[in-house]
This record gives sequence, structure tokens and C-alpha cells, in this order.
Amino acid sequence: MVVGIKDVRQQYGSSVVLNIPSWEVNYGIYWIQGENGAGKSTLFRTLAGMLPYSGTIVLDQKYNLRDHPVDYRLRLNLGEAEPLYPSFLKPADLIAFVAEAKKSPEGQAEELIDVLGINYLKNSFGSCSSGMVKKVSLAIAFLGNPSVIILDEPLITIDKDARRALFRLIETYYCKGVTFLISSHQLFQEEGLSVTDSFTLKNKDLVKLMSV
Amino acid sequence: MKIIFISTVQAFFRQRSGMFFVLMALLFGFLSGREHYAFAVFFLTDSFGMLYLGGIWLLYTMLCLQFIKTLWVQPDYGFIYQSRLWPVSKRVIRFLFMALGFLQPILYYGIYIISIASQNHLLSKIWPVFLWYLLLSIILIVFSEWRIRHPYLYHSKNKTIMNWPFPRPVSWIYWSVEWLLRERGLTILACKAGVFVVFVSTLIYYRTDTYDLRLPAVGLTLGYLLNIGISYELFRWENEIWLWNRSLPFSIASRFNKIVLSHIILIIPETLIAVRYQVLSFLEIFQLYGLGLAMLVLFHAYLYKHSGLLEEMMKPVLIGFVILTLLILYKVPVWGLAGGGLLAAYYLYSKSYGNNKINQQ
Repeated sequence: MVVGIKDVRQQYGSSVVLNIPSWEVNYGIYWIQGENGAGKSTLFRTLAGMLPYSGTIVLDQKYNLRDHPVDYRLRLNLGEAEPLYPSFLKPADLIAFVAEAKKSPEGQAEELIDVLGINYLKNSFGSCSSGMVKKVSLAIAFLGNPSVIILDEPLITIDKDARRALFRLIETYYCKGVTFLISSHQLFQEEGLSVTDSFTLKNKDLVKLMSV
Repeated sequence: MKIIFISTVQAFFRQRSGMFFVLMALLFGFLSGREHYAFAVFFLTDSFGMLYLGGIWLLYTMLCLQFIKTLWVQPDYGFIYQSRLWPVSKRVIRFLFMALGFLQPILYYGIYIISIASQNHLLSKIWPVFLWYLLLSIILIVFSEWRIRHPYLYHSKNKTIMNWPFPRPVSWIYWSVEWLLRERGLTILACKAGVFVVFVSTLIYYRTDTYDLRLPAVGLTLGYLLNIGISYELFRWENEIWLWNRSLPFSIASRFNKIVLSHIILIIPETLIAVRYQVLSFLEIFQLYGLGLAMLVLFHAYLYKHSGLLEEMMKPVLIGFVILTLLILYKVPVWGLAGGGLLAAYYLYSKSYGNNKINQQ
């Protein structure tokens, strides 16, 4: 079991957004679906340790998010759907910072920058388009030695070349043993990426879909 | 007209208010009235005085030019190029008002110089002030007109003289302080103005008679606590503006250290004022600095407990300050209160971090 969730409950005020009694996945690429507002981004942010929650979240059967906050976060990366970074920072600043925090192997950041075509390292985020910011968020989602990478709507706003590069990256990292949780409204099969299983967020719970 | 003023001039003072804060701290915290007067007389009487003044003002104008240059290439400032559609005369008049808006600090200082000249019967010496006003306004108008005619909507990667010669440090603390100065400058200005008033009042009162450390302990801690607005903005920075950082692998202790270090930096300016007054020994200032820091960090940790709800914070702050005052009056050592405050803050933070509710953007 790579990711395990038990009795996870998430709410904003009195409104319950997630209520997942139990959910587990092994090594693979998983497609998380759900209509707009179903709670996919909230689920991902909760798994990434960004939001308070009740329940238990465990990675690789031993890293509990609450008990091992650093080890857990070293092994799980999140690429947000609509990433927001301080406008005065530059991609070079952010990538260097995250690479250090995630203990990224030497040369990894440069490789990701090259593959994703991030040739605007010295521009501030304030002057970047949403697609440019998105590519940086995707690059930092691969930094370090994660066992799980979550990509929330990775295909929105990025160009065709970046899209192709992203799928190559997913395949490469998957072959290295990384599990992916991906949400998207687009079909992956059209891009040549086969998924292990699909789940949908229904009635605040994760429900397995028929084989895709 | 209004849109240019709000989008450009107001943005300048808002984004550069950190710089204005430093200037104000230097001008009103460290220079006395006599020194201000001496400077003004120097500008008026020295053979090159007005030239020096013009040079300083030109530097400030260059800062304004750089701001316009970088602001108007931002993607959300594309609308500004619609001003090309205005008739030239209207555009020049509007750019003139914009220039006067940028030059406000210079205009105010010019009024001060004129008043000093009037007192000292040196009115014949002030004509260059008006010449500088005219020249600097023209520079801003011409540059704005040039920018509108050359609507580049990208950032040049080439270095300019205004760029820092060194790369931005890859440091959370540096970024936090930079964000505060860039984006929350007005909060800093307002908080620090209050802090300076309380500090100066306390220090002036302290030297009127023989008091022990309890008086500045109460007064300066109150002053330090007026930084809670800045501390609250730091909380928002971590929990709203850059929420994603919570997914990074930092331990609770490491996050707490970063908070303490950020606060250590933030309360240095008023501490320097205390040093400047020379009424307290280094050891006393160190203890008071530690106490102020501890109380501020304790407040910050409380923000986590109450999920950043300021309305729920006022009561604990007031009650806490009353209790602290009593402890100080009953001669509990200041260093002990500082140490205890920091320990309590860490305990509270470690219990509350990760459990506080987040305001989703």
C-alpha cells in the first residue's frame, strides 16, 4: 500500500467536503475524477499536508502525516491546479528553494527546467502567464525523490510541447517506482498514458470506477 | 485620470512604503529637528547646496521612472496603453498630475526649505527649487509618453543599473520580509509609526527621573506589541498567500525558528531607536528586546490557536498585557519573562500548527 487513508474528514465551516472512511492504493497511476467542486483539490491539498484534517493518512505503510510530517512531505509532492506564488519571486528562486527543501539530487532541477522548456527563470511570477507559472509548478512537483506525485489538473494552460514532455516525465518517474494521483477533465488514453485505476469523488467519498 | 493615479501613483507608494518607512525612521527617528534645520540651511547657503539637493531629487525621480518602466510591462497593466488614444494635450496634463503625485515627498520637502528660507531671509536662494520641480516633472512626463509609445509587455532579462547586483537569497525568511515590505508596506508604516511614538515617549519619560527597568519593560513591551499587525500579516503570508509552502518538508521546530527569526528582524528598527537614546545599558536593551520578541511570538502562536481570527485575539492580548504588567511590577526578572514567553509560544505553536483552519483563496 503506497497511500492509505482512514476516516479522513474535511470541512469548511459547517460544510463537509470530504468524508472518506477508507481508501488505499498500491503502486500505479490513478485518475481521480469528479465534477467541479467535488473536492478533488481539497483532497489533494489535504494529502499534501496543506490543510488541517481529522483521520489518518499514511504513506508507504509507515509515514503518518501527523507523526512523521517531514519524512511524509519528503515523499509526497503536489502540483497544484492553479498554482499561486508570490509575484515578486522568480522561477529560479522558487525552484532552488524547493530543490533544497526536497533534497533534490544534483542536476535534477536543471533537467526538469530543460525538459519542460522553462526559459524564463529570471522573470518574476508577476510577469508570467498562467501557463508559464503552471510549468514551474509541474517542475517542482517532480523535485526530490518522491514516492507519490499528485498532479491536480496538470494539462490546463500548458502548451503542446510541455504536454508531451509532461507525459514523458510521468512515464519515466513511474518506471522509477513513483505512484501518481492525477486529476483531469481530459482523457489520458488519448495522450497514450494508461492508468491503473480510476476513482471518482462522489458524495464526499472516493469510489472506484469500472476499469478504464 | 483617476485610474492612472490609483493604478500607478498609489501602487508606487503602496509597494515602496517599506522604503518610505526606512526613510521616515531615519529622518524622524534618528535626525533631530536641529539636524534637519542644519541640512536645510546648508542646501540654501552652500554654493553647490541646491545642486546637491537637485541630485538627491533626481535619484528619487529615477526610482519613480524605474517603477513606471517595470509596472507598465505587467500583463495586468495592458489597459494603460489605451491612454495613447487621448489627445496629446490631455495626456500631457494627466501625466503632469501623475508626475506631481510621484514627486509629493519632494514637493513637501520643498515647502519645508521655503519656510526655512523665509525665516532666515534667504528667499532669493530658493529659485532652483522651482526649476527642479519643473525639470523633474518634465522628465516623468516625457518618460511616461515614451513608455506609452513603446508598449513592451515583457521583462527584459538584461541587467539595468537599478537591478540588485546579487541574486535574491534562497531563504524563506528573506522572502517573508521582502513580501511584507513589498505588499504590506502600509501596515508596516502604520504599525511602526505607533511603535516609534510609544518608544520615544517611554524613553523620554524614563530619562526625566530615576526609574528601574520595570518602567521601560512595560512601555517598550507595549510598543513592541504594536507590531501585532505585522505579525498578523506574516501569519497570512504563511497560511493564505503562500499556503503551498505547508506541503514542504520542514519540521515544526524549523518552522517555529523561522517565525522567531522573522520577528527578530522586524523589531530591530525600534530597538535601534532605544540604543540611540542612550538611556539604557546594552544588557537592559537586550532583555527588553527579548521580552518584546517573546510577547510578539506568543501572539503569533496564538493566531494559530485561533486560526487567525483577529476578533478573537484582542481579549487575550489585553488580558495578557495586564498579567505581564503585574508580573513586571512584582519584579519577576525580565529575562525570565522573555524565556518563559518563548517557551510558551513554542508549546502553543507545536500544539496548534496543522490544526488551524485555513481561509481558502
